[in-house]
Amino acid sequence: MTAAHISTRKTHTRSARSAWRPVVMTLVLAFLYLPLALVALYSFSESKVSGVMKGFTWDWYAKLMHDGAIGQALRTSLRVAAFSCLISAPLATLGAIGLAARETRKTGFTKLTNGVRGLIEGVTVLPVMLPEVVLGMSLMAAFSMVGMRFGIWTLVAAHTTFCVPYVYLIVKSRLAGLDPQMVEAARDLGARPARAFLDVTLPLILPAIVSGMLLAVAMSFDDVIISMFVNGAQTTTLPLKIFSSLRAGVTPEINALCTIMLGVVCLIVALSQLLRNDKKGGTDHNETNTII
Amino acid sequence: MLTLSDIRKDFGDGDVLRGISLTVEPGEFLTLLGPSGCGKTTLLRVIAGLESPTSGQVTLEGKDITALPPEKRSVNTVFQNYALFPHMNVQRNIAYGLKLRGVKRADVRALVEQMLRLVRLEGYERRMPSQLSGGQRQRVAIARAVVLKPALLLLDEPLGALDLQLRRAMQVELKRIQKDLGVAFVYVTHDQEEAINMSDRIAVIRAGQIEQLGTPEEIYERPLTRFAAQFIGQTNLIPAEVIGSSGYGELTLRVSGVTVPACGRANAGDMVTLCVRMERVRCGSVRPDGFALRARLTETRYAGGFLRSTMELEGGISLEAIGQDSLGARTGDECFVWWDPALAPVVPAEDAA
Repeated sequence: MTAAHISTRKTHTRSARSAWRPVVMTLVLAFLYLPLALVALYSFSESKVSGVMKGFTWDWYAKLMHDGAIGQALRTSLRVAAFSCLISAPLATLGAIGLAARETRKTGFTKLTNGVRGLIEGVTVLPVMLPEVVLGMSLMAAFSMVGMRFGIWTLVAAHTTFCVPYVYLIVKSRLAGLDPQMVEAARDLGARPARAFLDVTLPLILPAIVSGMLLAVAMSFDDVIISMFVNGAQTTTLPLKIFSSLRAGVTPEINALCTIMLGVVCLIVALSQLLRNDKKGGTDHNETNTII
Repeated sequence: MLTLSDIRKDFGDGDVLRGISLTVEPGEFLTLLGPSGCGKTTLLRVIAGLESPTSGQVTLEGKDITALPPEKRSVNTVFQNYALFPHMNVQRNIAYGLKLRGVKRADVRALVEQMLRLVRLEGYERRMPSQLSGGQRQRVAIARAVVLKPALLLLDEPLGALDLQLRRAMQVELKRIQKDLGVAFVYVTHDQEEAINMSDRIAVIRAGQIEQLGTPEEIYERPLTRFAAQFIGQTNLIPAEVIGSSGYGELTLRVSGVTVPACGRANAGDMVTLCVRMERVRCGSVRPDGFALRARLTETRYAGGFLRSTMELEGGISLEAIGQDSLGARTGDECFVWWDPALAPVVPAEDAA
């Protein structure tokens, strides 16, 4: 066979492969997003039976607005998300800073060995990796052991445990991209350690903290399994409400509710990504993107 | 003004600094020159207070500052990657140190303006660091450090990230700024050209110790060690044995069977290394009066503005020479090679590094 033959065959296979690429891509995207699109589509259907598309209406959304139970659940969800994100943000940020800190002059802290550092980090991030059923069950057991009343605060405590890793991972990767000379420069110019942190470190990692908080809100807002174990008799979050309504079948109201939630969560996650890709404060690592 | 006495630093895996003593005079431009990993940056960080020495003492203007944190030292640093605050514009970067000192706002503005004039960046107050070129960032970093009127300015390879042209221009600029301000500079670099062009004195550092401290001329003309001879300038290092010493610095060496005159302090019988600067090697087809060696030109290469020739001496020693012309011989030609023995010092043979 001549060289020309080989080269034509090569281009042939390459073009055949590239012809398949958009097809595969479309299939994958359809598999991922078609169910979501259908839910959104049916939420505008006039038909009372889900799965039948007939006409176009905003009725179901209007109905939702007047549903007291759903409003109550929404308020609970928002409150839980807000509290757990506000509690987990400082915890996770301090943790990330503490673990990233290297030996400093006269602080008395000795340098953490890599083993200890790895262990602490592993334990911190574990809630994301653990099966949610296990985490929810053990949290429930723990709360009843210490005699906590099940309600909004047990929800907040439980959500905080799985929100911390998200904020931690994002802040950590931003810190890793931060030039340590930046803080040294501030010290060199006359700033004491606390001042250098406030003037230099904090502004530079703030986008990451906010990004992590938004992600935490999104995670808290759509959690079902863990919430199921730790919610009180009187407190129901929005996802739990949806889950329990499903016993009566998928109604158009549920479709509408899901569509709204989908929109809100997408918005929050997009905002979070946008903040993380903000170029101002050093480079970002992709480590967190793979986990989330 | 600044005195380091017996500074040692051990990071836990061996000494990085092994007893460095040094004095910096007011208004002096002192360069710490050495290969990467020799401890020069660590030494700079010890002076800045960013690293505390394992033992030894740092004295600034008569006061012991060994234990002082960086914010309490009247020493400022220009960092290797400039370390400008990316979330502050040029004005705020330069004003940062002044603000911490509680300087009045009107005075801050005047001082920042004055500094921008000094580094020739008037009108750049509102720019963010990301909107500046490497050379401009460099200037802002210098302005930010010198606006505080430190007793001593430390510079950690400040030109390392710039391209050759800009580096040459900034060398002149830095020297001008230093003259204008009259501030002592301690400058870290691994670039011998930078060191020679700018310094009043150079400390050649190797493996955490000062190998030689002196003016660029002293180190160039009279290197004390093989390492110093090798690190500054382009030098032929030839192993030799001393066979005669006049006692007045004139030596007679034997270099693989050939007798060669040289200068330096050594006793008959010592094993030494003869240092012959490449640009001082002369070559011709006619034997001159006095000292000369037979040689054969083996290779001539054009090296941009000058020629670099390799020749083989009688006795099998290879020698390199650089010059404007082809040294009056062609490749393969027999010729005579000589140099001024008074400019060819010997250093101890010591380690075979």
